[in-house]
Formats: sequence, structure tokens, C-alpha cells
Amino acid sequence: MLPPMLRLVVWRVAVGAMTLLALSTLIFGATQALPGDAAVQILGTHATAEQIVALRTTLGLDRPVIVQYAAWLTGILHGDFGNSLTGGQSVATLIAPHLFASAMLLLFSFTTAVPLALLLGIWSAVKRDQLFDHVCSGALLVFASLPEFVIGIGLVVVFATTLLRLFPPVSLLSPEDPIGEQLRYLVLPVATLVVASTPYVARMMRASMIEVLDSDYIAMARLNGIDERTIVFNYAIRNAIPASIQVIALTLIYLAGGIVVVEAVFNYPGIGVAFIDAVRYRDLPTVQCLSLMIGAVYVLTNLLADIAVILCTPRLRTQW
Amino acid sequence: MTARRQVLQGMGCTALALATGACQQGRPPTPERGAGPRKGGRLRIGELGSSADTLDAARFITDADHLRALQLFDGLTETDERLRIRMGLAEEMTAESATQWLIRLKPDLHFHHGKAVTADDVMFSIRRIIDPKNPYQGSQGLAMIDAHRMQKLDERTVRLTLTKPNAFLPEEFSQIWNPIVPLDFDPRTNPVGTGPYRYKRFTPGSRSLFTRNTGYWREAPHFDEIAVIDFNDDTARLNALIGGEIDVMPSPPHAQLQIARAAPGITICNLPSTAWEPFCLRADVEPFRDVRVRQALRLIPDRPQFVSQVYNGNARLGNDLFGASDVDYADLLPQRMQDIDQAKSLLRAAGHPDLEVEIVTASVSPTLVQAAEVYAEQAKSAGVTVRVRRIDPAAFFGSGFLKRPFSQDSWGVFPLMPVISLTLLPGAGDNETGWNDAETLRLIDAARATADPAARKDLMMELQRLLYDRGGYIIPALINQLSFFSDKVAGLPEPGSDGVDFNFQYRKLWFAA
Amino acid sequence: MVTARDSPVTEKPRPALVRLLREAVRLRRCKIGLVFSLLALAVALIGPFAAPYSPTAFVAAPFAMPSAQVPLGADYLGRDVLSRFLCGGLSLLLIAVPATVLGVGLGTVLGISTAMFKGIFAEASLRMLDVLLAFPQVVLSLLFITLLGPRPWLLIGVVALAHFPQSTRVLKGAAAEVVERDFVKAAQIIGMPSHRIVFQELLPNVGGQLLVELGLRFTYSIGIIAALSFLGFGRQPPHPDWGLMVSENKVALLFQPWGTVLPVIAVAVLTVGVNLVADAIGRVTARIQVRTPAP
Repeated sequence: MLPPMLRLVVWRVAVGAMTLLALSTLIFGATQALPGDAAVQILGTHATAEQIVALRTTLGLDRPVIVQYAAWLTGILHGDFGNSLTGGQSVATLIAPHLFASAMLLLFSFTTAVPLALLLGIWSAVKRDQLFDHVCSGALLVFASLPEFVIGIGLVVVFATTLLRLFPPVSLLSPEDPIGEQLRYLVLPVATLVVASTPYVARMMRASMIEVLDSDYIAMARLNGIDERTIVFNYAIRNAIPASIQVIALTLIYLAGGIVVVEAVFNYPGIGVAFIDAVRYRDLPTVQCLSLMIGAVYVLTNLLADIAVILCTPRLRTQW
Repeated sequence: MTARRQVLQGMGCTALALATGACQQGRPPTPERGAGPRKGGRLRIGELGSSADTLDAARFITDADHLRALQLFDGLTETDERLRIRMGLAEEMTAESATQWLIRLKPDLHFHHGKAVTADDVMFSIRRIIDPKNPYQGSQGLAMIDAHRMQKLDERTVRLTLTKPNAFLPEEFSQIWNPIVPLDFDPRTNPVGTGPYRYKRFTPGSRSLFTRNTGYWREAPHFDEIAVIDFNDDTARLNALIGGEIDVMPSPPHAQLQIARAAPGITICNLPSTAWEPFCLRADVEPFRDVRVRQALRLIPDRPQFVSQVYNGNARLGNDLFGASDVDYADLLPQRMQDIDQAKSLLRAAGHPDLEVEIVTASVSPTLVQAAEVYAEQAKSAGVTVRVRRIDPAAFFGSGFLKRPFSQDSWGVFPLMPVISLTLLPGAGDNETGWNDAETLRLIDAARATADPAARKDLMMELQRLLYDRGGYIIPALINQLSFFSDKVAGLPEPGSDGVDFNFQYRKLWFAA
Repeated sequence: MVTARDSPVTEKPRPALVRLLREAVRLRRCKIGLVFSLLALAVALIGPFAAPYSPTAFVAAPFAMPSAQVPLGADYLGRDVLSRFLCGGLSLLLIAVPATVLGVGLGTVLGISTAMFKGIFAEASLRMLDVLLAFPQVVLSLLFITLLGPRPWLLIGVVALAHFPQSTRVLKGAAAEVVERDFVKAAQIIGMPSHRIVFQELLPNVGGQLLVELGLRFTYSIGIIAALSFLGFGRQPPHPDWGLMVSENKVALLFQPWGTVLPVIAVAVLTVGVNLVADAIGRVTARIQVRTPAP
């Protein structure tokens, strides 16, 4: 039999794969298997009979649902996401440049938000109930309540239009311009994503850190006379690593979730904007492809985080 | 700077300058610029593009395509800024008889790749457009040219034989969708023409680059290069203009006028003109098949309110007729205004007292969606419910185009007959009102067969009267040509000029600073 | 010997909840939150009756600056910003409230059921719900909207669906903790029917967390629905709607910001206010639980 840790990892991977499969079913069901004629919905009430028939054939709507689903699934496993209904080109070529743009946005946001969240969380836990903690917690509470587009517009008003004129309020991203020129356009979208995602995870980090600081292990260390500084930096933080991993994973998840609205605020040409346009113009294949990708990011991130936690935690608390 | 311009600016009234048309700097005038045109520089134009863009002038649809076509190609004839027809590549185009025309090219004309422009190229260009297996937009206007009986008289001269008379051949050839291209022309691999700029690079939806044609057949253009850069939206375009990353922003949203006036370094060109963005009712489907329904819907718009809410005052009242700058335009027909009572009684008589319709719109121009929304609001008072359905602008001119019962379109400034050829003939490339009317066809044929301009004008008047009474277009406004330029660009129309069409004539401009 | 009269089983649940709320209100953050929330709710609910013009009427030039005629200027079609703002909050509430109640309600039902009746069915249903968690809520909503279009009943449904798994988890956790307590076990032993146990023992004791969950979910509902409106999938033009107003008038942010700034402020005030109240209740609940450990 495999060692228990490996068994857990294998089980988590299996769960991840099953979740992905369930996800694909959900996506397919929500877009193609609903009652009513998808072709009529897409083309509008005044479409001619030939147009409707043509679309039904393209989407394969004239076949039983199971067959459609199987065909779609096999296509995806071969990397074929079908062709866009609005432009006709393959979905893959359509979204490739968008993927790159969003990846850049996520990268910058991630590398800013994670250290920020960890620092804020740990520091406000260490300085619990002091002024810093109160101010920080209050601010985090306020920012955590605000929807992303509110934060985005707020930042635009403050930094790009009304109060100060530091940064451009929309995005201009072209593969031909040098990267340095384009960084300016990333500042506000990245800032929005960071401000939108950090509060949740910072508060989580704070709570976990407080738990660690209140634990028996730390109490013993204090009783043994070890100074507070060493306790915090050597013992507490080390024990907060599993929590940190969860925080890192969650940050990525929140960022991926917020990307749709934030890109819309700045008209940043990433997959969020591509997704919204696909929904707006009922481009089913593109909607399916992008939702699957976003869902896969979620599942994968959760999976990796769970595995990392398993590997890091010496005492495994298994639930079965 | 002319004294007149200084006086106007000294009076500090931008509004006055705008009322007399042409271009006005938003801020106090910069120091004296150089006297005449200077060569050099790359003019960067910001447009809203998509991957559906094309370099094939014979097939263009969007503003950006039109822009590019005017740089790359010329026609046998052309229109000037007052929309009068004059010779272009041709030095002569005369009717030898009702059905025979002589076209002679100017001497020493060359394409971008050096080859001389000959009669063979002219015949090839015409054949390409009217090819019944793959007709282009201009085919209906040129269809009466017999492709098999074209005669090459010499290297520069062609005799055309027509199956039916068409006195409007010069008008038809004046439009850029009937360009003169060489025998080896291919829009994708060899987009060669005679225009002021030649093709260098083109990525649909992204960028295109054109370089000066040093062998241009008239005064050489001043810019070394012209680049067209595609943007996501209008705010990005304006920011790029203000930030100095582009030099020209054609067709901005009217709402941006206020920002442009306050921003440094921007010249605003706001030209009273007759561009039109019609509502198109398909007269061959229900419920618009009934002429009373069409007439009712034309009585609905509160036209002055339309002008103020959609175009922010930068337009004049439209009278449901196009070609308003043409010499043959029926400007004596009474201006149609709103009449809700009459509209309601017409709808009742037609059996549609509570009419519900869906209009298909898209942001192919900055004002199209607003126009649909304002019309929908105004329609409420007549008991008509208009549902506004927005679709993808890239798909607007796709396969569904011409098939929608109630839709819109966005046209620039054109002479009357070429637009008639595109829109009112059955099978025409832009027959968006589903028009197939015997009387219309009779009048068109008669006008085309009439050599005497006065008699021809009478027939055109009769035709327009017919369209005014029962056509399928609703044209509430005649729209100004609006463009923003960087202050560095010179050669723009002076205030007080009475032109109506300066769009995309970039060969006449230069960088002052 | 504990008599039937003295046992906590017969203790009336009401005063505990009221006491909880009273204690919460004492917190400063709750006071601020209540002021914010009530202010925003007042605008949303009473606003339509106070609007000087019809929200769809054309009253000035597009993006006209504030004047006597249009105190906060005009929007992109020349309609009064103030009137559209006053009328634009109601549609938000009409979707957010039912969506929250539905989502949390279903979550409570499933959460308590799985806490009380453990077994393979419970585990399976929870696992299936986890699939829904593998999606950002906005993406999940847009997925269903693609084909069916932005209809009100669909919006209520998908937003409730987005809340459902989280609420289930929270309520299951809260209920599971209570289920382990002696007085519940005692009730089960003496044969009290399950539904009575739920209503008399479980619900009152998870009341605090339920309120917190409702408050939090309401904040998220407002956020999601306002975001969907901003993207153009909520109330359709020409109807006034805060989210829609933000995107419609965004182009004029440089010189006529009120069409965008006003609804943004309103949404911000509402979400922050409700969140503060929910947070206050949450703190008090935690405090009470700490103070009165399980008997």
C-alpha cells in the first residue's frame, strides 16, 4: 500500500479531476443543454429559417445532448475549442493574445498582493489591538466590502481624472510597443486588483497568525523565556506556513475572479473582456472555453495548495 | 495664419467658428508657423478596428477601411470637397452616344510598383467589379457596361459599350469603391493602386503602415508615412491623442468635444456636412411592407430633439432623403417634422395600434446606439414599443446584414446616384430597405438615359419625391464631419470654407512643427 | 437534579437574539454601518418618489454641466442625472434581497440537515456543491446569462446559487457545533421529534451566525448585481440602474463625473454599511459564545 501521504495526494488529484469534469458538465449544461432553442436565442427572433438551421448544425444542436457533450469534451481534450460564432476564427487563435495580456496583469497583481497580504496580516496580528491593528483592520474591512468596479472607478477618479492626473484611465496594449511603455497602463488595473483581493486574505492571515500566537506551543516558548522577537520570527511564522500557502492560493483565486470586472473597468484587452464580449454576443464556444479555463485555474490552484499543505504539515489530520 | 482666423480667435468664440464650420484650435493660437507645406514625418491615425478590416477598396464597409482605401487608390473621376465631380485618373470621359463612352487616361500614370496604368488595367478593374460570379459593391452602378464589348483603342483609351444608357457614369466612377487597380492586383498579397500612399504593412485589427508614393500623379503628399493604429475604445483614442501618441482621431464621439476643447494641443474640425445614419425599414417584410407603417415610423422622431440629444447639436435636420450635398438634391421638399397623431392614426389604419418592433444596432459609429435609444424613447408617445438589441460591431456587417427588418447604418457624404445604385436596386450590395419598386426602377433608368442635365434633374426630383413619400429610410439628421487633430498638423480647412467633405484627404496635410 | 422546568431545553430563544442585537448596536462600527445602510436604502426606496424628472425624459444637452435645470448635470443622452440616480437603486434591491434570502435560506436548510443527519448523502451533496465554488460568482452568473439573457428571475436564481455552497458550509459548521452540545443530545434522547429540535434548539443557537451570514451575503449580492449591471447584464437601457449608470457615463468622467460618481458612492456606502453591521453582529456572537461555553 502507498504511504498515507502519497495516498492523500493521489486522492486530492482524483478529486480535482472529478471536479474539473463536473465543472465541464455545468458549463456545457448552462450554455448548450438548456431548454429552448439555443439557435433562436443567439440569432434573435427575426432570423431566417436557413440561418437557424445553419447555426444548429454548426453547434451540433440537432444531436442528442449526450452526444453533443461527448463531442465537445473530446474536442477539448484535443485542444479544439471550436470556432467563434461572431468572427468565425478558431477560439484558440481568438483568445491567445488576450491570455497573454491577462497573464501579465495577474502576474503583477499576484507579486504585489501576496507579500502585502502576508505582511499586513502578520504585522497586525503581532501588533494585535494596538493602533496599527485597529486602523489596518478598519481599512481592510471597508475595502473588503467594496465591489471591484467601485474600487476601480474610485482609483480612476483619484489618480487619473478628477483629483490627480498621474496614470492613464484606460489600457492600450499592443504587442508592438515596448514593455516599458505599457507598464504605465498596468498600474491602475493592478492597483484595483490588489486593493480588491488583499483585504480578505490579509484578514485570514491575521486570524491564522493569531491562532498560532495563542497556541500552546508558543505559550511554552514564552514560558521558557525566549524573547518575543525570536518567537515571532522563528517559531510563529514557521508555523504559519500552511496558512500562508492557503493565503497565497486564495489570493490567486480572488485575483482570477476579479479579473473580469476589473478588465471591463479599464477596457484592458484580456480574457475578462473577451469573456464579457462573448457573453454579450452569445458566442457559445468562446464562453465555454473561457469559463473552463477560469474554472481550471481555480481547481488547479486549490489542488496545488492542498497538496502543498499536505506536504508541509507534519501531523496529518485526516478526515477519514 | 490668416487675418480672418486671428479675428475669430480674438473674439474668443469657439462656438462662432464652429457654426461657420471647418477647424478651430481649442486653445489660444500658437506662435506663427512656417508658411508652406513641409515634407516629412509619420502621420498616426487612431481608429476603431477589428479583424474584419480589409484593404480591398471595392469591398470596404467601415470608416477605417474607407480611410485606407483613399490613401491607396484613385478612381477615373473623383469628387472635390464640395462634392462636385471632376476628372481623376482620366483626362476625359465623354459620351459619344447614349450607349458609348470614351475614357482616356492621363499620360504618365504609374501604379505603386512602377507599372504604367493602361487601358488594360481600366478594363480589368471594371470587369472585376461587375463580374456576375462575384460582383462587388459598385456592380449595380456599372452593370450596364458590356464586359465583352469593351474596346481598347490605344494604351490610354477605352471605349465602353453599354447595354442601357447611363449618364451617371462619371458619378459612379468617382467613388472609391470603383478603384483602378492593376492586372496583378490582389487585396491580400498585392494591394497595389495609384494612390498617394502605398501599402507597406497591414495587420487587421491591429496596425497598418503606408509610405509616400513618390511617383504620385499630382502634387506629392507631404507625410513620409501614414500609420493607422487600432484601438479598443474611444476613450483610449482620445487619451492617445492628448498624450501625443497619435496625431489624428477621426469620428470621435460628440461627447468628447468638451474634453477636446479644454485639452492642450488639439485642433477640432467640426464641419457642417451631410453624413447620414439612417434607420432602415425592410419594405419587403412585415410589418413594414405596409407603406402606412413606414410613414408612421417616419413621423415619430422629434427631429430637433434628435439633433440635440444624439449629436449634441452637431447636425442639421434630415428629411428622410440621402445625398443632401448633391446638386440634384430635392431641397425644396417640405421638412418633415414630428406628428404623433398622424402616426397613430396611420398605425391604426394599418392594423398595428400597439406596434412592437426590435431594432438591431451596434457601436459601429459613436452615435448609432444612442440614436436607437433616443428613437425608442420618442416612439413611446406614439404607442410604439421599440426593443433595442445590441450586437457585436464586428458582426454587424456580417451574414445578418441586409436581413434584419429594422436596423441602422452609418454613411458618409456621397453624391446621390452612386448611393442609389448601392441601395435602391434589387440585388444591390447595400439594399438595406429591401427596395424593389417598379416606379423607382423606371425613374432610375429614365434618369440614366437622359443627357440633358435639367431634364435629368426633374427626373431625380420625381424619384426623390417618391422616396420621400414611401421609402424605407428614416433619416432624422444630417451630421457634421468631426475630427480631432494634433496642433502639429497643418493644411486643415480654414474657417468659413463651404466644403462638406474633407475626410481622409491626408495627402493635403503636413506637419507644421 | 435538573428538573424539566430548569433545563435549557425549555429556555425561550427570543431574548438571546434581541440581546445579541442590542449589544451589537452598541459598537461604534455598527452605528456607523447602520447610518450608512439606512441612508443608502432610503435613497433607493424613497428616491423614485422624490425624482424631479422622469428618469427617461430628455431634459438637457448630453453631459450638460450642473445647472438650475439639472442640479447634477445630464447623462450621455441628456437625461437628468439626479432623477436617474434616485430611481436607480430600487432594481438593485429588488434582486439583491430575494437572492440573499433564497441563497442563505437554502444554505441553512442544507447546512442544518447535513449537521443533524450525517451520512453519505450529506457528504455527496456537499461535494457536489464544491463544484459551484470552483467559479468566481460573476463568471457563474454570466454563464447562465449567456443563453437565457439578463432576466430578473434568472439573476435572483444565479446569485442565490452563488451563495448557496458557502452558506451551507457556514451553517453546517455552526449547527454541527450546537448539535454536539448536551442539551440537544438530551432532546434527542427523550425522543423530541427532529423538526422541533431544529426549530427550538438549533435555529435559535445559530441565530447569530445566521444573521452575520445574511448580512455578509447581502453585501456580496449587492456587489455582484451591481457588477453585472455595470457589465450590462442587469437592468437594460433605458431603465435607470446604478450599475448601468456607472458604465454609461464613464466616458465623461473627466468633465461631468456625477453620472458615474454618484452611483459608485451609493453602492460603496451601502456595501460598507451592511458589512459593518454584519461584522459587528459577528463580533458580538463570537464574544457571547466565548463567554457562555457549552454546558
